[in-house]
Amino acid sequence: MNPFLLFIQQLVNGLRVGSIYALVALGYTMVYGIIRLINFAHGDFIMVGGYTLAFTVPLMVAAGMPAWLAVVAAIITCAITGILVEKLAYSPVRRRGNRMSSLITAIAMSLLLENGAQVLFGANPRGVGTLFTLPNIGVFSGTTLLTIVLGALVMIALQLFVNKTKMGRGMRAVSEDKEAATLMGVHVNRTIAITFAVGSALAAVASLMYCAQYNQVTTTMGSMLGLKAFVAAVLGGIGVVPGAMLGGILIGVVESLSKAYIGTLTGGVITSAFSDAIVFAILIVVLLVKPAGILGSNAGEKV
Amino acid sequence: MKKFVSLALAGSLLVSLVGCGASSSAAPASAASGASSAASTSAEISLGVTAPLTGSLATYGESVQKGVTLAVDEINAAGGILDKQVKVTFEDDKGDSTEGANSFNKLVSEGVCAIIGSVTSGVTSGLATLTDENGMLLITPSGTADTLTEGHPSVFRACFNDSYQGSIAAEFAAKDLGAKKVAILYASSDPYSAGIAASFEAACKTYGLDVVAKESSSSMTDTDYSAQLTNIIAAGPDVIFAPYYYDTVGPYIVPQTRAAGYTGVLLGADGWDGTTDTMVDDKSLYNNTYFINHYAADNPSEEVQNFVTSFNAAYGSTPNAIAAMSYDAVYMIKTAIEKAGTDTTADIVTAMTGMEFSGVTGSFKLNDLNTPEKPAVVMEYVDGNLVFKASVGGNG
Amino acid sequence: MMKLKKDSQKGTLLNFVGIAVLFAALLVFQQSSFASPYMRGILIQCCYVIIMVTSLNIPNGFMGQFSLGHVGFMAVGAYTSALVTKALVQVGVPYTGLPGYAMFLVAVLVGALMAGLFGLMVSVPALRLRGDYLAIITLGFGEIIRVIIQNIPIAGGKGLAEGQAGQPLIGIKNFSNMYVIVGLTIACVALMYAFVRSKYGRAIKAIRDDEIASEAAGINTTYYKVLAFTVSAFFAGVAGAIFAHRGLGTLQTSDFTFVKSTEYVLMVVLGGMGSLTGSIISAVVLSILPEVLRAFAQYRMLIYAFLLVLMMLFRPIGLCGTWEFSLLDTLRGIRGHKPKKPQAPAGVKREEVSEDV
Repeated sequence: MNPFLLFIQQLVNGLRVGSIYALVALGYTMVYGIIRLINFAHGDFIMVGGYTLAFTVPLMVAAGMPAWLAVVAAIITCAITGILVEKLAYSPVRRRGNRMSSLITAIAMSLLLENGAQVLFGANPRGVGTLFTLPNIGVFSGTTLLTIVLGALVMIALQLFVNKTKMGRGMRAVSEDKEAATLMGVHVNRTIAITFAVGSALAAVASLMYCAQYNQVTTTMGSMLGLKAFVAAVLGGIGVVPGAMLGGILIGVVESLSKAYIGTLTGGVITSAFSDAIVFAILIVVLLVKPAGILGSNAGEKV
Repeated sequence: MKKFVSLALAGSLLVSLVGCGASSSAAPASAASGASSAASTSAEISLGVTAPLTGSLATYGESVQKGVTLAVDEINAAGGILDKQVKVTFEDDKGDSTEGANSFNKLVSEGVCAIIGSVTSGVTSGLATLTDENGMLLITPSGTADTLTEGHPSVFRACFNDSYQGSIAAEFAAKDLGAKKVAILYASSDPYSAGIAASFEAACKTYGLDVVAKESSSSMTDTDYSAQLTNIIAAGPDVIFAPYYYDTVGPYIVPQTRAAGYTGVLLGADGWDGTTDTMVDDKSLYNNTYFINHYAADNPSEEVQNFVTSFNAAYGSTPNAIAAMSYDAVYMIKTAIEKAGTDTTADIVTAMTGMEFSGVTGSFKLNDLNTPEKPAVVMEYVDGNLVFKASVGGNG
Repeated sequence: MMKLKKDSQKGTLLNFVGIAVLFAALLVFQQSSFASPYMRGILIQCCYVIIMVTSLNIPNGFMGQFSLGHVGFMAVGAYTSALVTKALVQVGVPYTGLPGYAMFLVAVLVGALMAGLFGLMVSVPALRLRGDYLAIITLGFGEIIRVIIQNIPIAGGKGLAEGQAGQPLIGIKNFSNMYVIVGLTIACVALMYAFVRSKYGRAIKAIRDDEIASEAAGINTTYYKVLAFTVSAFFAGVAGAIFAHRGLGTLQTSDFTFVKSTEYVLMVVLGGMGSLTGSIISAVVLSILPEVLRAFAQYRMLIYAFLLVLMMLFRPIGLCGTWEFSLLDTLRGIRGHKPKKPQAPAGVKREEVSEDV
């Protein structure tokens, strides 16, 4: 195969992974934008969505409906999980603890969901079944294209929601200053709960495309995926909706290209086995050089 | 309310502390009884098993538990060993070396005469070091790393090792498949995958195979291999060798290889056993894939078919290789005890060294490294079904 | 002032007596029928977990700078010290008896220094960040360290020249014994205690309580943050070195994953952020508990996570808060004196909502 075609193929591979990261990163960025909390459990919301799909897809198929409609069940389950986690854990801790407590609670929720799922469903992976039968268009697989299109649609919808609706204005107000938002008549707790519901629903959409791409769910599927998507969100500019999309695609492409070429470029010193390390190295560089990310604006440190 | 809850939390921690105290006082009693059973005066023969019964490797632990339980039940129903009933204790090591050591030490202090375990080479290599201190007989059903039995005279295994497996794979690729160019995809961080990949690569030289591409992933649980596969396929191999586990092979490696346009042969090692449960809907993707295994459930021999039937009767499923090897491990201990005429650990070790044995995973003699020398089987997936393809290597 | 000084002299003396009693107890334990390899294994496990958790408490608890990648330093200490002992064996140094213990201590020191060096290298860039960004960047560093270790040939297989990447490091000779390890643990805890009580420790606590105010008060916050992080990494390296020589003769990178890091973080938080006593208690309890409750192994992490959420909800400073056990105070308490009032727990300072990044 000629090197140029090979390079294009690797770019396409990158898009394939990156489109999933982008979808996940959108959910991260939503939550972080409002409450300034790395929701460590976001990756596990995707796992929750994935398992919901694994259980409802056979029902859908049996009922003669298209398999992907199972996403409705996944959205509902994820949104409920998100609101429960927020109401039962994050919110009370936020009100009486400090930032550190919130972070620890997020880690604890992630552990809780992962280990809870392991107790419920066992360690064995579970197949999801075919969700879409899409034709390939050129070098692109149908699933990859659909993921990118869906990601773009979600991004636009989110952008409109945040910028044009009343609720969106409320979210931005809460993000800026909770006290002031309260004074301006924004129902802060409800706004945050809705943010969680939307963010978690996005996780369900991400889990649909993840399952379409990879066909299998495991209880730990969310942890590495979540971390990489978080890196993507930071790279793009956390809290910035288009940034998450951009960051996701970029991380996917960088990951794929580094897997493909780093071995040859470094003479075998660094191999494709370093790909996870490379993603974290990107995070470190971004955080040190431009913590606000590509599309974010640098804000001075608040006292 | 707040005070109350924190008090309750403190209380629960305290209670658990007291619990520890209570249990540690119970331990010496069992240790004492253990000492007596090791002197072969007790009425029963007690065996220990350490395996990952929970955690991410629980599937393997389950197979071990089923294989061992079936063998022990059969033995006890037939009158036991040396007219003594066999008692087996299972401990969970979660696939973690520290937990494995705790399990092992616990079993030793409970006075078992032999221990079966653990499943993975990583955990087993720690246990092997521990046997140096107390000479405990350890027999791993599935730990394939070459070094496990080196310098540990009381460590045995019921399976062949990685270097054998790698060379069998190369031999099969060269002779049976007529391949000239091969590519390797492996997980560099995983001892199993990296070990077999290394021995396969070494064996390729012997069999005149040209390794045209070698790509690695950062872990066994990666989900996307398309970048590595694109490079591999561009190099135009006749065979892609991918020593991964079934949970990666089924949903990721095989479909992604096919999606990248490769229709040639995919070859794997014993970690592929179980892929039938993780396949995607389109089973035709798995045609033209082979893997090296320890035994074939469709082997027509009476011994194997009896085992498969009784396993199926007990658990409602076909036994996989780990279950079969665990089953054999129990019978290996039985054979050694009968040969020694006593259930004292040191005597069983002596009896087992260099022993000949015939079980469901083949008839073999244990070599200098306490490892069975036997032919491996190559299995093929045909429309999602596991079919015996060939028997390769060994003396048979 | 005089009284205080006298108090601290008395305290030191008492602590030595306490340590002597502990060793006597250990001696009795060793002679008793309790001392099965199983019990000894758990004791050694308690030792390295104690060092690991107390060391992690320095940045996470005392300084309020959350690190999620500390197992990376533990891994550096473990692998370095293991390679040192391997090299020593190769050049023919005897490894039994007293020379063995000396060699072991040398290996521990080299491993710890290497871990400290890594701590320094990581902390200089990382500590420019705070809060969740710091947490995630340390996590990233931890993962990078792990990936590098698993890809360098000398740290796998038989190690050194015969090494093989991707394999567990095997054949690590055990130079130490239980007394050496327990002694080392006590020494480490004492050093860390001295550190957090020193002027450095006070500066670090000031940074936790209010970084900007500390800066304004003339504390070189960057210097102290890096110092604390490096010290902590050093002791994590000691924990790693003991872990490497715990008698299994084998090391694998899967012992140093992000999941393990969260387990140690969990112990710090449950025990008390800013209490070495709390760390010791939670390290011991949470090391022994899984052994006692083997039947519930499946639910262990679930229960921990649940406890953690409850703790955050009802007592965010952890079980012990910032309280430290003191023999002197305890004895006085028994004799009817009123013990010195424990410090007000500093971690409970309420930050309304937390916008600052």
